[in-house]
Amino acid sequence: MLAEVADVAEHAPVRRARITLARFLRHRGAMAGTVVVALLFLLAFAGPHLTPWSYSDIDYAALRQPPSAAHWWGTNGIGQDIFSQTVRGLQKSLLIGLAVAVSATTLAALVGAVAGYFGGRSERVLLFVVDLLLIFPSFLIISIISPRLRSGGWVAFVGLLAVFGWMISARVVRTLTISLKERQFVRAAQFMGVRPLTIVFRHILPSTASFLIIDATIAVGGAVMTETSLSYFGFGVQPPDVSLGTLIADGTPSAVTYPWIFFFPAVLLVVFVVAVNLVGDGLRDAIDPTSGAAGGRPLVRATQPPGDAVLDIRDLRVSFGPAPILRGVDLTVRRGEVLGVVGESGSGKSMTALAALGLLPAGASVTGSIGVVGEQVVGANRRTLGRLRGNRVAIIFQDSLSALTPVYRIGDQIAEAVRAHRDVDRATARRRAVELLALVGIPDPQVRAQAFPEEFSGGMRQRVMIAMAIANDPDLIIADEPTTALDVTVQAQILDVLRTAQRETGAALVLISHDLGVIARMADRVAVMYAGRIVEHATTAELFARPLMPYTLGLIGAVPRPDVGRRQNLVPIPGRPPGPREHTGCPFADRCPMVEPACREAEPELLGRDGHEVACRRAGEIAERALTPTEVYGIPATRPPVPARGGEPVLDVRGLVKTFPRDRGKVFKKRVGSVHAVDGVDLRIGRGETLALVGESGCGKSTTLFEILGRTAPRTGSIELLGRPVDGTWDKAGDVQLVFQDPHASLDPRLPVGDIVAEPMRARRASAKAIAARVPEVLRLVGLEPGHAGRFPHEFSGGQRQRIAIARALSVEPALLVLDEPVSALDVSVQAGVLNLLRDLKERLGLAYLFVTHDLAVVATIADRVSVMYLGRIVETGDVDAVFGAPGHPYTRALLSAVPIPDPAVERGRERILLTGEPPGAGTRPTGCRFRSRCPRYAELGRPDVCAAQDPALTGDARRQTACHFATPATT
Amino acid sequence: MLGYLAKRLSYFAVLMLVAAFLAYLLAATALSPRAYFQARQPPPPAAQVDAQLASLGLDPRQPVLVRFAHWAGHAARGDLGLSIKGGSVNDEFGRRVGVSLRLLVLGTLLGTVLGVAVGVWGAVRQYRLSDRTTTLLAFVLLSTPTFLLALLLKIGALALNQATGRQLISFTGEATPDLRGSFATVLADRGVHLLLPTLSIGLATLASYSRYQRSAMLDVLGSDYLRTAEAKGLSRREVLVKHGLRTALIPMSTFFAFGFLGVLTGATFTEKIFGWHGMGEWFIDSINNNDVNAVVAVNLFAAGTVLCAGLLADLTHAALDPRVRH
Ligand code: SF4
Ligand code: SF4
Repeated sequence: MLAEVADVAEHAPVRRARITLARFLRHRGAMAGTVVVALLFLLAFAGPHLTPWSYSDIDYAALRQPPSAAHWWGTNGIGQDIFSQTVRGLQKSLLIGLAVAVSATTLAALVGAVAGYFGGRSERVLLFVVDLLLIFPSFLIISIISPRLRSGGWVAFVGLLAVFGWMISARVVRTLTISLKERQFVRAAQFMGVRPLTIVFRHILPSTASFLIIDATIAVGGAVMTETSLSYFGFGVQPPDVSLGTLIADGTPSAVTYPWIFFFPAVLLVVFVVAVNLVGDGLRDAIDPTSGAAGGRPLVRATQPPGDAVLDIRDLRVSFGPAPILRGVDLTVRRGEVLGVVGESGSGKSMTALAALGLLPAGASVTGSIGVVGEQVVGANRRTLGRLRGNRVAIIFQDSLSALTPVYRIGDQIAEAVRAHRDVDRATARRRAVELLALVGIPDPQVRAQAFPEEFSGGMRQRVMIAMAIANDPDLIIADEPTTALDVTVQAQILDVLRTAQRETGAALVLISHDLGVIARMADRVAVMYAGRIVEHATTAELFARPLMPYTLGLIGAVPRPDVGRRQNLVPIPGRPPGPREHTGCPFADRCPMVEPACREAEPELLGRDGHEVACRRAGEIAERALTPTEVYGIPATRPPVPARGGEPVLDVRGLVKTFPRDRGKVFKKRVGSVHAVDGVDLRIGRGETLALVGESGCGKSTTLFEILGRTAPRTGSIELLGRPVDGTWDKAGDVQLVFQDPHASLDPRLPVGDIVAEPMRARRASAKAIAARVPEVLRLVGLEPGHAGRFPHEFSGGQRQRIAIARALSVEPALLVLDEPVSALDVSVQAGVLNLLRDLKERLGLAYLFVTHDLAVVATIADRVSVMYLGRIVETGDVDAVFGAPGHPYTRALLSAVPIPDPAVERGRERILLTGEPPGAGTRPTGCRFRSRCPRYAELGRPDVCAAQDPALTGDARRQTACHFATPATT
Repeated sequence: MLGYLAKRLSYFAVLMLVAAFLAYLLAATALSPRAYFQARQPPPPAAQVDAQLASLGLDPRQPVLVRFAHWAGHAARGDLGLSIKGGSVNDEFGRRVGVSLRLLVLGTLLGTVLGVAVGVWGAVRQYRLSDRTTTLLAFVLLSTPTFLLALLLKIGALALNQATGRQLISFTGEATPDLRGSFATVLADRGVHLLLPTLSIGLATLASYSRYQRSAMLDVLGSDYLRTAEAKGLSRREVLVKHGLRTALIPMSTFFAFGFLGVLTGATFTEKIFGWHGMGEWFIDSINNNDVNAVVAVNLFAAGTVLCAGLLADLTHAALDPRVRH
């Protein structure tokens, strides 16, 4: 819920370790625990020097004496000093506890990481051993064995406790390792050729460190408890030596008559273990960023009466503690209207949405006013909110599996929304749910209503969210990034459904998106947010035609447009959004190309002229001179065309086929056939050339890419790098490197940038000298400074991190750079910078790129050639200009028409081809043309037989080839 | 679902067999029954000891695998052999098993139900005074070994009895010997005797459950689907119980199996300290007597109950999460 806050907080260049330490120091329980543990250690080791009595001394003159000056804590039945005995016992117990915890945790870390990483037999053995130990309590085993170990002394005892104490932790480490294995920085290391054990020690184990530290801490307490328990029964420490357990056992019979003999060791034991547990708990809280130390009571107060528009937000301010997230937002939405809200991540868009439903996380201070159909939301009680939510105002969150309760059926979840506000019986609500599912275009709604959320695709779940939102005919629908992370074709469908739903219900729609194309398509009015405020606000046509704030200009200029193509020079907005704080000047000043000293003196107000409001001192000037984004940012409007170099192929893939076994059944896995993820693919990339591979998710583009990176000869087909077939060995000349989608995930957060960049060189055993020379070189190459090598990834913005990832890939001078959606996780303002960098590098170094993406606009700006993939096949391939200028395949046409263009004039006048249905799963291998089931042309032509009978082959000339029996003739 | 159950059951059966084998191996090699006989006064001649050991199936001259085969042959027919004192292990087992089960079931019930309740309550009231108090109490309980807790309870009861001058809380054995009276009197007497032992194993379970449940619930409280449920306009109770608790209980079912181990171990101490003649007490005594067959029998009992708990956990999981059944 705090993603946005966390995202902003993450930008703050403060070391994570320091934050953790600070949180730990603030944790009162943990501090108390630490102090107590320290004192007890002091007592255990300094104590023996404080009294003249040794623990085994016998004072015949003092039997069972209560505490006195001679014997501080009294004596026992044979005249031994309880203080020195307890201190000695404490010492023993602490030593045993520590030794056991350290050895058990080490063992658990090693076994768990190895079993999790390598899987297979080691993993099965581990799981079996853990299960066996479960049914065979270790306490029983130790009790049986321990008396036989007397000769081995306490070292043997420690060993015994450790041997039986590591399994459960090992199981947790294994689970952690399995999820880490999927993390991109680990996969990146694998693709760079780092050896498996190195990966385990360099990347996996350090990442489990926080768990291990906590686990070891708690294990100390656990071991002390086990030791005392065993000793109590005589299975632990043997006389004449003492431990807390033996002392308690000795004191038990006379606990009521001579309490001191019993209570001192008992109290010490409990106090120690409590303290250790408190330390462990504090560590956990300090490491886990979501555990909130609740600050003071948040202030929630409506400072104005609610207006009577559908949504009327006035001077809304939201903050968490001292960090202001929203700093005075004003918004009005009238019935039936669509308001678009744009801005980079962290600008406060989502917080505004949550605030409108009163869904802000606890701990948020809120002032101002939010009127929803005339009712005040700020400070409203639960009943009022319950009446509004889902009834008058509904919200659609960004799709994620987690937005629907996993254990309830889809239909029931919708029916629940109906019943929350209408007095209808279960059956009626169910029927209504099925109707709603049909309304949002779910085929077979009666049957699909019975499904669980995980059985639905992202697009289908988003339809469900819409169905839920319109269940009670709301007056206002808020959609928070409803199509982010969906394929363009599915995005187009969802936007369509959203439009229909909004029209059907007559509701107002607030559409929050980072995608200006989506906003241009849908919105009547647009509000641009920056640093917790609205900085520009106008009708959609006006805003896109005459943006007046340099920030808006930057956002618009940064978006790649398929209709402009490679000539477009993208505008990168420098720097990054400020963290949540108050501003004395214009919050954009640090990034603004038009900043003047006066901008920093006072924050410009949002001032209107003819319904176009903008918060910028120089807006008048921009309006007068009609400045364009490239002019404001001082870069040439277009790039000079670079001729593709072509030449000898760097990569040559022919007839590549990749199949996976298809399993059925959750418990009994049975192989029931194979999935043809890639089914006969040809790719060729010349030196200095960029080939884009595009298609919806599941079309097989990632599989193709990993086959190429895997560097093993494929079963069917061939892969050649620089004319040599791949055979699993490294070849300096024919090296391939990879840049992953998400630079947050693909860089190990625990390594300094220098080490990250050097990793591929290390894997190829480059000399330290070569590495030291190369690292500053590549950092400079990607526009960073050599001095950055010593910093950690979290100190960089998303765009800079992607530059680090590119530097890492370039360090070994690869012939081919594979880019897997390299900009889709970045804000558009940052994306522009990375795309420009990639274009520059290609021109300067003559690199060849294989650019895998689902974003056709990006393809248009960067690629020379494009291959469109559908269900494991290339359906169209050729020069970008030829293919995008006049797409020959119906699928390419549909993809292109689904890309929203950030220009309402173009976007709204465009013919749109909506593809029906979703991309079929990779398992299907239809006969004839694979695209038939969704092909608009097939339907339009009256379902010609040839499409069903014959699999179309790629035909055409050198500029373009298309696999369709009815390819549109090239018009260019 | 039936297939799943069948698979679990067969897996459990394998585990049980391996456990039986290991338990025997361990007990037969680590314990020395000869010592038991030699400790007699006067020490019997070696030949006689050998004969006695052989009659128990523990002849040390035979390889341990042969001894195991011999034992397994009888065990398969439901005969767990003779105890070192010559009595039938089966009879002893029968006398004690009910005593232990009563403690185990009650302790688990008490710990689980209250633990879940306290955990959920703490999560919902996170960082408030009530949450902090229960957290601290849970920590203290978690940090007190069961034997110490049992001792403290016993000492407390003793002090209470002395202070009031009456036998308010009886804590030795499972019933007052030779008590005569109506059914209700006998029942009440047994209830009073149950109080402290059940508490001492239930409290520890309660504490650990409440911690796990609290963190499971906190995970769920921060989840997107709870926010969705709230956005639908459901009441707070519906959101918390129907969407929150239901999903937060799912991971707990796995923990239930682990948790039962703790109960079982705790029961060993409890029985010993409160003088209950159950399996735990038998276990400790058997080890001290080097009674191989009895030790193996108790291990089998432990394995069996843990497996039952595991099965119960599986069933609970399936009941809570329909996707498993699906
Ligand atoms: S007020 Fe100044 S710094 Fe802010 S956007 Fe306008 S010109 Fe730039
Ligand atoms: S071959 Fe037929 S079905 Fe396939 S894309 Fe062309 S028109 Fe559509």
